Amino acid sequence: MSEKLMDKKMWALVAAIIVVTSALISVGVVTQKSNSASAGKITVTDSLGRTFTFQHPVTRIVSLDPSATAILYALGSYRYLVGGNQFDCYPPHETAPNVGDSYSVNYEEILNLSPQVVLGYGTSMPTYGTYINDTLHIPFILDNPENFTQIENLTTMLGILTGTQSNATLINNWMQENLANVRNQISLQTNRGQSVFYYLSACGGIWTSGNDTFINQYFSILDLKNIANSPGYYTVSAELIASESPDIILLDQYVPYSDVTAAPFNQTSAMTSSPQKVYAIFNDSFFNEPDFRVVYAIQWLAEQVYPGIQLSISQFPISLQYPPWPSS
Amino acid sequence: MSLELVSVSKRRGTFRLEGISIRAEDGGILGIAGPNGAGKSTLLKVMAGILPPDSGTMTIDGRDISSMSLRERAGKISILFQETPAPFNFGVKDVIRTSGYFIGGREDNIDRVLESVGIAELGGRPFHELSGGEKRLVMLSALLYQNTKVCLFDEPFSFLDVDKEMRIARTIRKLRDEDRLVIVTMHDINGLLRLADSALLMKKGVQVAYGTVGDVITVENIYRTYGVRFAEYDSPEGRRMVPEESMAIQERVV
Amino acid sequence: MHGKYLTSLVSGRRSQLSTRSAVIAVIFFVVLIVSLSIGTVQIPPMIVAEIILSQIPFLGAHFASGFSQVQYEIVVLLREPQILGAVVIGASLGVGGAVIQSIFKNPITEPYVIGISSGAALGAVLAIAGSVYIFGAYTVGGMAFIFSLLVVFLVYFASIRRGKVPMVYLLLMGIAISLFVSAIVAFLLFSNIRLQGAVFFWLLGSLQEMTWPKVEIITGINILMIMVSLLYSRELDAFQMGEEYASSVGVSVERTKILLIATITLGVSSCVAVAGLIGFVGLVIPHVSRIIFGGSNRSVVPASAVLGSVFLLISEDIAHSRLFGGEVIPIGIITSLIGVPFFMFLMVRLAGGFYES
Repeated sequence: MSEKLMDKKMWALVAAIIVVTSALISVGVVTQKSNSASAGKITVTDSLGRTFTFQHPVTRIVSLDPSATAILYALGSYRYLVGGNQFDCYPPHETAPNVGDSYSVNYEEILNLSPQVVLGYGTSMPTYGTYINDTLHIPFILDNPENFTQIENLTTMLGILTGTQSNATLINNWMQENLANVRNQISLQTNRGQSVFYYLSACGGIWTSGNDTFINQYFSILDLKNIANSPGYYTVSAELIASESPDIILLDQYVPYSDVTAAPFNQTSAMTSSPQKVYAIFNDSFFNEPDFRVVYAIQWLAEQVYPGIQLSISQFPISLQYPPWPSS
Repeated sequence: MSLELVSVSKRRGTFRLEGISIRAEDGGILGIAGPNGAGKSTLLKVMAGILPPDSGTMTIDGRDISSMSLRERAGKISILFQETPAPFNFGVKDVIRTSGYFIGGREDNIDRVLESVGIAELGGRPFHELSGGEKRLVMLSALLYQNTKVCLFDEPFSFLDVDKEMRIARTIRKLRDEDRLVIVTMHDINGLLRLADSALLMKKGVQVAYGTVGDVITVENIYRTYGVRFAEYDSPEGRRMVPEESMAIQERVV
Repeated sequence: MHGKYLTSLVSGRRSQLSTRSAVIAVIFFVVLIVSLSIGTVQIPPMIVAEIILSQIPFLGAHFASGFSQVQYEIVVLLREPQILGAVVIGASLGVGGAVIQSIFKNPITEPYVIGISSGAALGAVLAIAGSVYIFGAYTVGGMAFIFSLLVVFLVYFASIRRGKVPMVYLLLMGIAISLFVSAIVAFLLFSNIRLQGAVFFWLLGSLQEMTWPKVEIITGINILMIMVSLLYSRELDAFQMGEEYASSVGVSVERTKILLIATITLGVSSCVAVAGLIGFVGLVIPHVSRIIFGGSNRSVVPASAVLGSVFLLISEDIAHSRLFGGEVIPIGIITSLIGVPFFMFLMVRLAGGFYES
């Protein structure tokens, strides 16, 4: 009898929870708001081909993409950045709150910042992008520049978005002019066509960047032959390294030199030549982020690969408190 | 009430139960004996309706049990298994309650069955803390709680202290006296002689002999069943059987 | 001495159990309300209360004053669905664990073992890797749900032996096929570096991306699942006594098993589809319930629902709190971090001899 009573209490408790839950849900349904779109003056397209329309240049931006943050700064739109991300490194001393990284995002903080747009990065729509766009009703613009043209397009798009289009044009012209200069200088070099391997990461294999990546474009502009020629970022076999025996090995900032002193790297041309042609990247932020600063990365790499080359990069067209070139 | 098996066969892996035909009436105890692998447990599970026979029929009062709903069947037949269950953290009463869940067992009967088995004091204990013998008695209580006309016991006396053995034997006799139909498998011939009214001897899945205890438990039938020569003697409690070999050993010792 | 404690637990001291039920009910509602006030953005509890009251149809207008639109959106669009998601998913995993452990008669199983988790992971990874958009915003969840059902179906049918599904077979098939499917997932992940981050976070489990429509879907499915589990709690008790025993006392063993496994798979898969693989709850919450309320499923099933909810709510609060400097930690990490020490404590202090025999 008391046994039955017990049962009833449990049931009642579960029933109460169900009722409360359902009630809250029905309330939630009532209060959902709709996303209204209207014809506007500014239209931009993201890497997935989706178009976004705004009445005015945006003045509240959250950036989950360190490259976009750097470009916004160069454009003179940095004051519109209300939220940044874990990986932002240029300009230094960011004061906007960090709302996450490329995997996990703090939605409460994003809502709290009431941005007009969130800038993201990736080959495909991340789940948080869908969530920000569809649930928080904040336009989520995705970008994924994998070559110099796409970097210019991103710069132009951010220029349009923030009403700084003229600066975007200046930056793009500066990029084109300097890249053309690099091409000219390289064509005068004699030891062109060396093979190169970029050791991107040692986590769970030998990671590298192959075709269709902006890093591969550094190599083609410097007339280097990337021994990894499948598309994208992936792991290669030790045998490939051994058999291709690259003339040059490029080490990511976070891959220690000791990693290439053992097989399969120790017998490669790069390691056996004198002096060794193993170059540790001076700063990942220049090298691994697709924005206008890749010009400086190319300059650095050219100077390593072609000793004695005279490469001067023209003055950056916009005066900035924190200059975009490498500080040392 | 009567329970009837007509040429029941059942295959389980490589083992075969073949052509078992018996008819048992209420108010009696049927003992089933035979060596290991004779098919006693399988037969008992067929009788309980847990294993459907491949061929042949089993009826209760002329009704085929395969035509009964599971709940109806559970209201007519109960079984005490050889193996002891190990539920997670059940109390003794939780265990007993399970046998009456689907046939309308009444809560106040739980105390009554515990009392009738003589383990009222175990009612508040966690099942897993009990000894093997106590657990068997709790399972016996669960069988009583199911309160069926047909009660099946699979080796109810194995591994028990003598006091618990007696308690179970007493309960089995009481069930018979309440005009229920009791069927017990056991390997001890003398235990069967003490307890049963009729007997079924089995070997390798077939029945060797079936009838009243007096007719079935003979030196000849025992030899056919076990391949061991037994000798018969009369004791104050009645007829008893002893393997000749052990008698020979005893004589030599004397 | 702990034995004596447990004895008193299962002996007729029902008042003690009623007290425990009441305490847990109070904890549930307190945690539910406190959870709404916790987040990386600080909103005073009074404002939160006003926002919730303002949502009441017709009467709400009286309260709609002292808060900003942003505060309203944070509470209504983010916190409420996340918290309700925690309630529903916690209950679902808890009940799922109680049912699966009873059917398998195995205390170290959980709903994921029959292929739910590996199937869901495969579906999610396929959706992310193949850039599939068949269900729009619900593609990842939808694919996870479908593949989870498919894998459980496969496991079940691979386990049929002579018209029955022996539980040991099902368990081994579940583990074997899960490993196989996980290998496919690992291969897909290996072939696509960009996938690893996104899938890794999905595998950890998160309530971050809960939305109202998702909560509605899983609530519907899981209310059904919990109801069925409650209705079948007596059959679950019988299963724990052995399948032959269950059959002898009137349980249609195979039919009940398939019904319960199908229901649990639907419920738990729906949760995994929206929140990823939140571990620990399904394995341990049923044991906590057994330790507190005794082993009968008539208590264990409802208690696992409530305790699962409470546990996931608390985990969600910690994941969301400012403890981690504004970063939101995937809830799957928290459940194990706080759950394991708590469970070890319970096992040592309260379980008596139950885990020793």
